[in-house]
Amino acid sequence: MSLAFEAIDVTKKFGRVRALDACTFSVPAGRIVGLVGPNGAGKTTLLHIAIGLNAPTAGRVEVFGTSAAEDVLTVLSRVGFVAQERPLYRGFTVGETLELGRRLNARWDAAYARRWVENAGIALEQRVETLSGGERAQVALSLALGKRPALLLLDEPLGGLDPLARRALLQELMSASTESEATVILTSHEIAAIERTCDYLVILGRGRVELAGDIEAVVGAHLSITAPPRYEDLIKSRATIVDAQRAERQISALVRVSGDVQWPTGNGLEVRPANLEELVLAYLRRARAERTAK
Amino acid sequence: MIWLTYRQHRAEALVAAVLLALVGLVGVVEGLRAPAVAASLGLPCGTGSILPGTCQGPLDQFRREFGWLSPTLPFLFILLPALVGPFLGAPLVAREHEFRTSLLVWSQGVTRTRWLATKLLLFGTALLAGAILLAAVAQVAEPAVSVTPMIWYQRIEWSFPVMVGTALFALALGVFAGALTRRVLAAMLIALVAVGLARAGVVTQLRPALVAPIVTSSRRTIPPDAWIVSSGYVDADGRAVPIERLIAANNEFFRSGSQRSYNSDDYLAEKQGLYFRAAYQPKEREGIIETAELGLYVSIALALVAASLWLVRRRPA
Repeated sequence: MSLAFEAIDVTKKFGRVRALDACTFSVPAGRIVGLVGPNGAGKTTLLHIAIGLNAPTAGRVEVFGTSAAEDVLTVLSRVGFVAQERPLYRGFTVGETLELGRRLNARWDAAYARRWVENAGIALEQRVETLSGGERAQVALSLALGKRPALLLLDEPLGGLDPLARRALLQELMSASTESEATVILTSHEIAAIERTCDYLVILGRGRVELAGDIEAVVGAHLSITAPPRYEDLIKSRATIVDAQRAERQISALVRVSGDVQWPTGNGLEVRPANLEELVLAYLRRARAERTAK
Repeated sequence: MIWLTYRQHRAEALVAAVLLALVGLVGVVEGLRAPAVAASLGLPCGTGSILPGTCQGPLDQFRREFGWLSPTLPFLFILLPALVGPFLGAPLVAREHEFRTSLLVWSQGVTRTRWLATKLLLFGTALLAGAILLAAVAQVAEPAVSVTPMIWYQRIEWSFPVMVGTALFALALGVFAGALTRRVLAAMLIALVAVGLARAGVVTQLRPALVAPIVTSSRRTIPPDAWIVSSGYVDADGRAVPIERLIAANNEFFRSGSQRSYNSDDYLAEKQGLYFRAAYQPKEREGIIETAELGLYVSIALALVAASLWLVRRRPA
């Protein structure tokens, strides 16, 4: 299977701070990827590096095998990007905003872009500065979709949107990606939204990849366990503890298992499938603990 | 890119065109009217029917009608090209950063180099046209500003090469300040101060010396219409003579009663060892001086453009 996105040992330093630290992962084509991580984990920096808006200190990011550092136009022709701030020219009308897309891109599907805007109930004559936050997000997305991109990079597409606008945007996103068979990478803090929308997960904790993989497989390989402390050795013999919280009478752990593992029943040992939210939290907690220890 | 540049900057272009049109209208109308008015008043004095000393009345009348133009127009001819820096150049890159639209426009299918190069090319072309118009207006407006024809070296400021040079230099400086600071207001202030200082430096320091002036030790060899950029006395070693020494020498000249046999320069040279030295630019050099200044402005502008391109390409969006 071809790779839509590949980060290879990407390091980015801002002064002495490492925003990305040998970050490595890849995304197969056709996936909808949720890229999660705390603020400052390097998500935005990574997306910017992918399309040449920023340059890595070391390493490279490839989009369908091409690095923006080497051939930015090839990368840009394949990628639709919506920045976190959803920047648009305030004085432009919506129609002029789409015209910008047509004028600045070799490949541009004007009818397709217009359809997205009109489906969202936005008139082409409307000026950008009069749009609501949700409408702005829709216009920014339409501008990215008009390129008919093979890869869509969305930085916090749900930020600042009300629940209704979120739902509308996610629905649009999903139908757009099925319709044009585009790979989507979106960053978000909304685990629930990612669970509904995405089929691939990348957890970025302070510049490093903590976990990357198919969401179903990832969730299936993790268990949430609560047990009296004396069971800790037993847990460790059958699984890898990602993160554990120990109290006097109880240990609650999120563990990774490989294959089917049998667990003794009763005596206070509770084993259940992990959900995505606690899984993400466990990895982020572990990442923070490791960095603090270092 | 051409469409985008027009769409983004049409308001600025409109304001600039309106300003130019206003100045042009006033300059041309008044400039065309002034010679007839001056002639009907018998101006300039001393050449026609009115004798010198009696022309205060006609001059006052001329000034009542056109006087407001003589501080205003020359000021605008200097100011307008310089304002290109803070008002057109500075926001060009800085505004995109400030509103984060850099992330939008630089993630379309156009490289940043082409983006900036196209904008600069279009702005440069528009400024070229504007400068030609403004220099033409200055030419036509001159009789309204000055009753007698202006001296050539005072008109350098009004020439097309200096106007277009200033405008291109100011544009590049503003763009560079914007690419460096990424803040519109900071870039505007820097551009305003820097263009002002650079202009003052050019007018007072570089313009007289950019084309090496002719040095002479005899007043008689200086053509009457020459621009004397410096004059004074030196001693035998070529050092400038302190003013006290010069006054003493002159007093000596008058006391000795040598005025009949000597002119003062010859006396000072022969008896006191003080030699007259002057540096001047002859009128034939008008075009060369203006072109040299244009060359200076354009080369600095090109260097600033190169630096701006480097900044825009290398720094994060």
